Amino acid sequence: MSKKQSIMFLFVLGWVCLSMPINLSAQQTAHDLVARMFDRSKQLSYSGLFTYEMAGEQRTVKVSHQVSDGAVYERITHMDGPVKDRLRQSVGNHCNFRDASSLQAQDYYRFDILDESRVAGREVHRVRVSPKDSLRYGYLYAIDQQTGLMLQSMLVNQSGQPLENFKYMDISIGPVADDLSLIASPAEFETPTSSDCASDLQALGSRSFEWSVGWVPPGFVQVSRRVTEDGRKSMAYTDGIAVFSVLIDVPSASPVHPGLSARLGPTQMVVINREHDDSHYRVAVSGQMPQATASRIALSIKPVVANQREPDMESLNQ
Amino acid sequence: MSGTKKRLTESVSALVDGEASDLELHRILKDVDAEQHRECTSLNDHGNRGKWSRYNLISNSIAEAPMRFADISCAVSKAIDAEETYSSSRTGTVLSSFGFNSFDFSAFGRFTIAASVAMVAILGVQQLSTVDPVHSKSLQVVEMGIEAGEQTRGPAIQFPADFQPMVQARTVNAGGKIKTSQRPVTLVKIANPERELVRDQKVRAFLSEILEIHSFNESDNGIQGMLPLARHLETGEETDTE
Repeated sequence: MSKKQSIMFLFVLGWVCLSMPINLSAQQTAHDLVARMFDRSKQLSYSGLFTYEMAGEQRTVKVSHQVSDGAVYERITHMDGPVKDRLRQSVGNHCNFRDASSLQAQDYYRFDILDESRVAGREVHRVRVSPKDSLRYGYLYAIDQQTGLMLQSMLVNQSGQPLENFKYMDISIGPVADDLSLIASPAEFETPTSSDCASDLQALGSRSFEWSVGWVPPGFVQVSRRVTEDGRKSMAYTDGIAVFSVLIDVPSASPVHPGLSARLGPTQMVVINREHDDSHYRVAVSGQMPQATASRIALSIKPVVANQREPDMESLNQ
Repeated sequence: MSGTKKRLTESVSALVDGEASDLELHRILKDVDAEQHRECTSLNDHGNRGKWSRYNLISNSIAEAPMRFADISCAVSKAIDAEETYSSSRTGTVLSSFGFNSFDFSAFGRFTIAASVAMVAILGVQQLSTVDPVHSKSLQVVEMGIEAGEQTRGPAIQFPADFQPMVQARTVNAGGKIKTSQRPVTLVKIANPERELVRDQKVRAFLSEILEIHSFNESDNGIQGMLPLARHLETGEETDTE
């Protein structure tokens, strides 16, 4: 190797060594920003006005999200068209047995900080989350630099076409006394129609069979199970970014309707019929994912006998 | 004699003997053409046309063929030049009578064809760009007829659900001067199952419940704050303004 070649080699080696830590650091920061959104969205009180656009239609919504004594009170009011109000209360994800924020989403998505910008009058980082496979969608987030709250989210499909756009036009972060006056009485708030976690476990364990999801996209793990008051079972899976739900309907003597695939904006739903012990069950998968992915998940769901049951939540916690 | 003339003379000789190559023939014809433009005499002894005539006379005398020879090429050329030129376009004749003598109608035709091609292209692009990937805000459903054995292998291709490639093309004439342009026609279209709004109340009710449960699951387990509720606002109840 000549002297000139040696110098060139050292130059290239030095450039690679210098650039690698910078890239890794930037990627880590982008992922941290996104992972922090999980906690911030549940810890912060805020109120504001956002627009939601899908399928060529835009709606403006006023929202209040107040955290008080560990409970979250949400009020959503439509600003366009018919007057619609929605009140919701949640007391945290107590039925969940895995922290979604601990998942290694970097294995399945690429995180990039695009630039800095302003949304709703606040400084934001714009972060792109690109899937590494064709089984899931990508996202563009605008994350508040000061609080870590997501102020804009755009869901894009594999072709780069936006499927929805959620964006705050105005937001006030922090508890606002006036907003508490919006809350008439706790009884008016919706709560998830599920029993408590202990009875969930009991109900799931007392059945002679369980349902098994045979295939999920790599990286998705089950994070919650619920049994609704009318006996429907639901499970939630996440890869740290996207969430999909599985719903097992109550049994019926005959299929209620044929299997179907439906979509509302970016949300894909696939319903299939399963037969077990002379009973018919509607099995549904719902989430922001391509139809092929949702169909494959749905068709992998099968009833299993008791001795083949999946590990219960306690064992998953360990 | 220059080298070029010598080679041309040898080429003419070879042509008379039927041994000239294509290159030599091309060179001779080019020289004869230039010579004919200079003067159109019956025979020019110094030119290649003259040589061609003499060589053929010699060849015919050796072969004891009749030696009568007349060069009629100039006469044919003059007759062609004297022929009246007829216009192929009656419209052109009419317009010429109105003083549009200098108008180039062939250029106008080309321009017309080019304009129509551009218009078709623009219409084609507009047609492509108006494809709505999400189709509609309403619940849409397509019967799948899913069978267990059919689907456990998973999707054969991994296109996203909204991927609907439309390949459009124009028919064109590959040769000659004929230029055609037609409306775009779809050559390849990925089968898109017919979609219809969900009208069955049982299906609507079940889908609504699915969305409701998914909305709660997303809120509890997702990272996107109020977005899950924004997606499924339609499930909220209408209230009076009072």
